[in-house]
Amino acid sequence: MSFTLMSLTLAILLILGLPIAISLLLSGMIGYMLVIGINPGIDALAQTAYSDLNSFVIIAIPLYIFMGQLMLKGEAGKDLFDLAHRLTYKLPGGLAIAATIASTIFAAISGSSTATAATIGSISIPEMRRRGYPRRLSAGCVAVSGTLGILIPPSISFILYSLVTSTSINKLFLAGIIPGLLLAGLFMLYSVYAMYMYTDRETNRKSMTTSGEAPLPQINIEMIGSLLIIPVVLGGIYSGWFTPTEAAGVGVLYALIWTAGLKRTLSWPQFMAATTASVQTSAMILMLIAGASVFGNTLSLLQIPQDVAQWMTHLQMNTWQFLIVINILYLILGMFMDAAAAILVTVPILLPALQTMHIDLIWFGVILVINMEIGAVTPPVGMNLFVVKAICPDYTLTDVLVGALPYALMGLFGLVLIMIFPDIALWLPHWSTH
Amino acid sequence: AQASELQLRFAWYMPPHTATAEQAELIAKNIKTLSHGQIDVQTYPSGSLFKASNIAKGIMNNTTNMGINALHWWSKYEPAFEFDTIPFLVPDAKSLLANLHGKLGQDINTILEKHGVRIIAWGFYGYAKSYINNHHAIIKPSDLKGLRIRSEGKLSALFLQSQGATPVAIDSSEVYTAIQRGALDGGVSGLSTIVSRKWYEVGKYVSAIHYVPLIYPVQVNLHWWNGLTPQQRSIISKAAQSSEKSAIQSIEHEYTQDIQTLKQAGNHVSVLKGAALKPWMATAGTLDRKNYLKETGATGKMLLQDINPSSIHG
Amino acid sequence: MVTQSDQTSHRGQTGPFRKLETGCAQVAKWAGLVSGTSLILLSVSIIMGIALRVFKLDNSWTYDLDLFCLLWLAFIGAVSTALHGRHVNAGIALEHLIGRGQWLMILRFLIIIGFLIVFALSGYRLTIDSIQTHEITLDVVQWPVWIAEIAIPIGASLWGIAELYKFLRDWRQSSSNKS
Ligand code: NA
Ligand code: NA
Repeated sequence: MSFTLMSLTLAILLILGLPIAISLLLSGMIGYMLVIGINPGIDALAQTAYSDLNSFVIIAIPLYIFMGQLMLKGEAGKDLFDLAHRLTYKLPGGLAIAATIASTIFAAISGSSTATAATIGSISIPEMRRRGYPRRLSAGCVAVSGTLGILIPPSISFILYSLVTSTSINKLFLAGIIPGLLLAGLFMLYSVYAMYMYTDRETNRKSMTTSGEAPLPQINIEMIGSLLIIPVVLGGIYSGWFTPTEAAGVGVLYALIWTAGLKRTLSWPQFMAATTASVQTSAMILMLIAGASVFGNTLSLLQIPQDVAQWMTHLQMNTWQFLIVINILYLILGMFMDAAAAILVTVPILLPALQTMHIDLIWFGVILVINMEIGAVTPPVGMNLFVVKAICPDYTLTDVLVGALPYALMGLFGLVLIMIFPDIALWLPHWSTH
Repeated sequence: AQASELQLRFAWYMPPHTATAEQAELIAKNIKTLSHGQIDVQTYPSGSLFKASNIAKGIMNNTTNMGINALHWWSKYEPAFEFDTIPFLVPDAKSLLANLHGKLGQDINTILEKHGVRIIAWGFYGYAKSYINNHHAIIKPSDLKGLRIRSEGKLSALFLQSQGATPVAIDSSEVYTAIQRGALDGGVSGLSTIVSRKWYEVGKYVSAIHYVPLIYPVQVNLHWWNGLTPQQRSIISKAAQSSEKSAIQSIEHEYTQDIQTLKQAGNHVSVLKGAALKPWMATAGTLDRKNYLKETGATGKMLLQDINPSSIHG
Repeated sequence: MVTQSDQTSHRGQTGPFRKLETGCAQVAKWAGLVSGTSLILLSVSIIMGIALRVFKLDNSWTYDLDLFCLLWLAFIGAVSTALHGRHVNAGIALEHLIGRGQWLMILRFLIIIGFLIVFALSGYRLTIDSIQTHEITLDVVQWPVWIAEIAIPIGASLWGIAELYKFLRDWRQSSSNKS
């Protein structure tokens, strides 16, 4: 009853065109009020919003956005994509491929999907638009490639999963690498195919190589300097100078020194513009996190995910039926909940069933995380859709959604491969222990 | 089936297989059995409703009727509630429980009731303040010198500083990667955290010290509690209190089990006891007590006096 | 985006509404300044945290500063985001289905304002509770928590003012379109 009322409220608010953050906060608050009373419900609203945002791992999101904006406004993003363009120009969809490659590299720095999509998106989407890529393809490619952030280590989702299942973080991290690269490959494959279909070979190659009237950019020192941000940030983490969240701060510092100090392409007004744009994008995402956590919290309070998982374990299925139903369940849950909430709430309930069926928990962790990746690009709560929409205010959410769909299907195809061939995930962790 | 007459929401945030989570499961089961299904317990385990940071507020506003939360979390409001993080107050959790059943427990409840919360039974998280690091075995406090150690709370930070170590504030979710990459030399925490958060995968030397049992009491919303029938209150109290004994057994079991796990994983484990504890008493024991009393004034003095001296190490 | 409507001339508009609009614009400017400062301070604090740790100096104060900046960035930044119409919605264009009814504008405005009043109240109670109970952070520095929490009632109130400003602006625009 309360659940019906909550979902109905959410649906009406969304249809009325209210901001998604407010729709989630408001319907979540109504859920609280129905269960714990009006006054405690009002109290719970700010308490949950505050304590879920009061989290160190979230800090990486605004910092990576800020870094991306400084690189963008300081024309360093353009350097990177000129370089990627130079390297991939012979392929149809070179810039989309470059966006996926850049996302894969960034995923190795950041633990979250949203931060990855925000950074790569704010550099690559304007560049793709400038070169006449279809808006849906560019938006969808970035939204889905960004989800590699939780599959390629470090990953917030794997850390939470390890906490709940007592599996090794190291093994989970290793298990995510090959599936992450596989998915990246599948995304690139689709980009090639889509761009090949989009234009006939001649016009395509023409637009790729000359981008209108400008000549093909040559590799220069500026490109190298801009590219250095990746080894600086990555190298800093791997050499032990800083943690993944701190790396985002170092990225901001590097971007500032490079664009304002050395390259001298970032003026004061551009710095102000980068700050303003970063504040607006960050606050939009942070308010969505607050909304998703209040809404997800009331779903937990009503024991909705628990009921669903309980019901599943009572169905007495064989291993394959079980895994298929689990995947469908997580695809549905992923529509409404963010990865952290879904893992913390449902995995402990499913754990006994997984253990009786002797399902490898490391393998299952990878399957779960890929499901969560797809969940990040499914409506109504699809954080990566929102992030890309925030980067491109003139795109509609439908543009991003439709663009993301084929890439999400490629992700689903990768998921099927990993389910049929568990070694794709398990080979590396097994190899490392022998 | 008969409809139950009371629905009870019960939340905790510790991961499965920890002593606290097992105690919580046991309490839920006890309530169901003792009430013959008349009290329907809805459980919210491993942070599915509240994380460590907001469970107390959840109990205060009755989002959850009942919950388990660290006593020292309340030192946000009542600095004196940090007393259980002082080493060597009692020899073990069993004697601490005996004290909590006396004046100490009553005084804690009197203070806590001002926040609309009451403790109905006691539980323990395990033994806090063991050390893990990547440089060398820590046998005496001065071995900490020069290390960058992730601290837990103000008292532990001040102690680390006094020994020439650098206390580092870093989020618990980042300790693993920070130790792995060398941004941190190590950390101080309970063995159960070192094991459940997998820090031992990335840190080599572990010093296990059995000297600080942390209190994780079972708390209820006072207003909700007062609205129950005397019979319901008695069932819930009994169910919760009957878990206390096995809770102590399971933290002692967990402590030995964790040492086993660490040894099997190839860690260098130093279990400090007997004479090896003397230098720790002289430093951590005395200093934490002094810093605590300086911070907490009369309330702190009262709580420490509540603890029966006969149970103190000697 | 705002730019288009900002360029709409205000000719013939004087009196209380005009003043209200100017006031709202000032408030929004302040919110932009504060949240921008929070973002820059957050970056500085993170860098300080690394530098101090590398030189084996106490960095614990940066941890609380990081989180406090994040919360101010989120709740005060939301005002700028609202003013520039950048809070994402579901993208269902109801206007196309039922026409540009002014009632839809009023309904949206009332729901948002109603919610923001409750949100501000909720945040206000959270803050007052913290002040009365002397709540502090659990780390070494032990800062008062209300300094971070007060961002919620301030942010929600200013967000409400931003919505009022947008509503008045859009209302005037749609009225002048009719006439
Ligand atoms: Na990652
Ligand atoms: Na989704």
